[in-house]
Amino acid sequence: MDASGRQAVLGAGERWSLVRLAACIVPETAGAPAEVKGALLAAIDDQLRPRPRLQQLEFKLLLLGLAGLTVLPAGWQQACLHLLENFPLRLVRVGMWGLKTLVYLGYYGQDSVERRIHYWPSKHEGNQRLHARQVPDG
Amino acid sequence: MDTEFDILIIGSGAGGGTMASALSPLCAEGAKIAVLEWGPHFKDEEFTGQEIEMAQRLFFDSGAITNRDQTLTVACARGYGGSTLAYTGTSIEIPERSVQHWNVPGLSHADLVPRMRRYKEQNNVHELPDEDVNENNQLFAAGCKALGYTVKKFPVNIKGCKGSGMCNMGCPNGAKQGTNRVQLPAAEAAGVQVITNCRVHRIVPHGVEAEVVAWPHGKASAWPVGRYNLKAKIVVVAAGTMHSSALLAHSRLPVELPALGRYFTCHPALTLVAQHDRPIINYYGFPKTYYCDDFEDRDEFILETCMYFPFTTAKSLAGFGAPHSAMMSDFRRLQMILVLVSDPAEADNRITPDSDGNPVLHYSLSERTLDALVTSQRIAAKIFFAGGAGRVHAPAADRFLIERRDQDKVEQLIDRRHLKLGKISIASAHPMGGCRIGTDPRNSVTNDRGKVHGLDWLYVADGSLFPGSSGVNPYVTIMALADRVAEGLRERWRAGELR
Repeated sequence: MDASGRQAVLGAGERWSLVRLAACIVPETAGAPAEVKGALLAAIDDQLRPRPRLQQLEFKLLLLGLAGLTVLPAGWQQACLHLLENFPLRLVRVGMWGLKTLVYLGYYGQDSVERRIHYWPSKHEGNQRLHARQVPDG
Repeated sequence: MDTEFDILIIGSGAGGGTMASALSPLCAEGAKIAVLEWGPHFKDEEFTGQEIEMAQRLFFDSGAITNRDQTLTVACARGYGGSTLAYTGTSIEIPERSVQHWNVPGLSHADLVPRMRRYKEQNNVHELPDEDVNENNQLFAAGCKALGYTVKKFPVNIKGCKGSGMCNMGCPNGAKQGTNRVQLPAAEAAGVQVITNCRVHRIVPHGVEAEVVAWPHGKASAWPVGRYNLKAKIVVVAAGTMHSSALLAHSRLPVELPALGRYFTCHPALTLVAQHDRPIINYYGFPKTYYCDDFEDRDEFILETCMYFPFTTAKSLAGFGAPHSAMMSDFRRLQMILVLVSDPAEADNRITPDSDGNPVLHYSLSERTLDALVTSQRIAAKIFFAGGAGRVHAPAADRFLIERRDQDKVEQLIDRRHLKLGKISIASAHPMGGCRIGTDPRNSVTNDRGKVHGLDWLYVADGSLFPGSSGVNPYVTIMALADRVAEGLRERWRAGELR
């Protein structure tokens, strides 16, 4: 179950692997607070939930296949993932793209991360700030 | 409620919304017309500007309908207004050479022009004043000019824009003049019913099987949740390229249409990102002001300014790890260019329905398209550097970042052999074709007035009509084609055929 009482798509082992892989893809997640990691996992679960069962299974199999990497030192993990990202077989590259996309969604979709990377959009004052030549500063 | 209509329109986007408004004068003559829209009628406060939340609310598959070989994603929105809720509103008329290339007897550029101009006027289309142009756009213009490329301003359909930059997540200020703001309200005022939360599962002779469902967002539908069998003298399919083709194929119509779903095109696009050594004003202000079409005729691509959001930007960068994080670490330093390729219309690029009637896209990127994607990256890189960028990311480069000191090597560093499908994010927001207009039922689906070959009660009125890509952002052309379809139906009504 996730925090809102819905059945989680990813199991505990899959979540563990995903957190380790996320640390390769977005190194900041390695030292991120628990709530950031939790939000990342929840966002990925939310994306997977409405997908067909086959797609969910494909992602779980991908995580299973990559689980062995997660016990390697970080540098080795990075090298292996780069290899997979450029693999001659398109299906493998697609799998890596899917994994990265979900990790980016889970991380860069968070409000706290948006602030951290200096993304402070304004719904109603964009033009005012533009006219004032105001570089975003929070 | 009514279950029998004179005209049913499926979809409320650029095509369906135009049909609704163009046919609405018939309501005063007694016509019963309804629009059936799958998505909800969003309340203004529901355009939150939160990237992930709005992607899930607005778009099918969160904006990523994928082709079978997973090398391309297509974004289509749903809701009262269809994809006009989520487009940027750049309002370009289809060029004469594209219509000539379509080569459809009875369809001329001269006929489309006054129609396009009428809708541009309705939608308050104009060019942004210079004081509303942000640095992301200014640097593109400066870079193009330094290289001797022509740079043009996009006419855009906005009124009261506050520069949120959130156009592609639904305008939070009601400024974007999509069909949800202009054509649909006018149609409703004239007597057209718009039924939201209503999915059409199948088209049957002179009718549809539809279902109203509950949505967690938006205003309540005019009809209660439940299944409906609706009758109509005329059914107009304007569900967008992806869903019109799938719906028609899923409906097993009583005619042979060998071209149904085929000749799909989509302007495959890449978002290219550069980093400046200082923060620039990039995400305040309207995101898409300029374009360069110097390369359209010879190399079949155009370059446009764009500014997307953190997740969309992150996934547009091929790569990961420390260099990727460094690029993303200060969003204010990023400049973006969108490259779009005019892809060829090929019969094997097609849409078929799955067992539930959802679209399945069979699409392969042609060699010409892949070459254009590489060439366009080289040009974009040169424009970035000419505008002062410190480093450029190009998905087809041999390295994650090309530094300014290597700008003279762009032609060598960006190469086709580094363009690996499946690794990079090729996306489309301009799906076209699938129900192409033409005279020959063997290679087209409708006549030049959108009437499906062999059936006098079924029409199509959206981007699926395009025989090939338009080469430009398609919504104005969609409105003009839908206007032609509506004109033909008005003539039939007034001739007494539909009463």
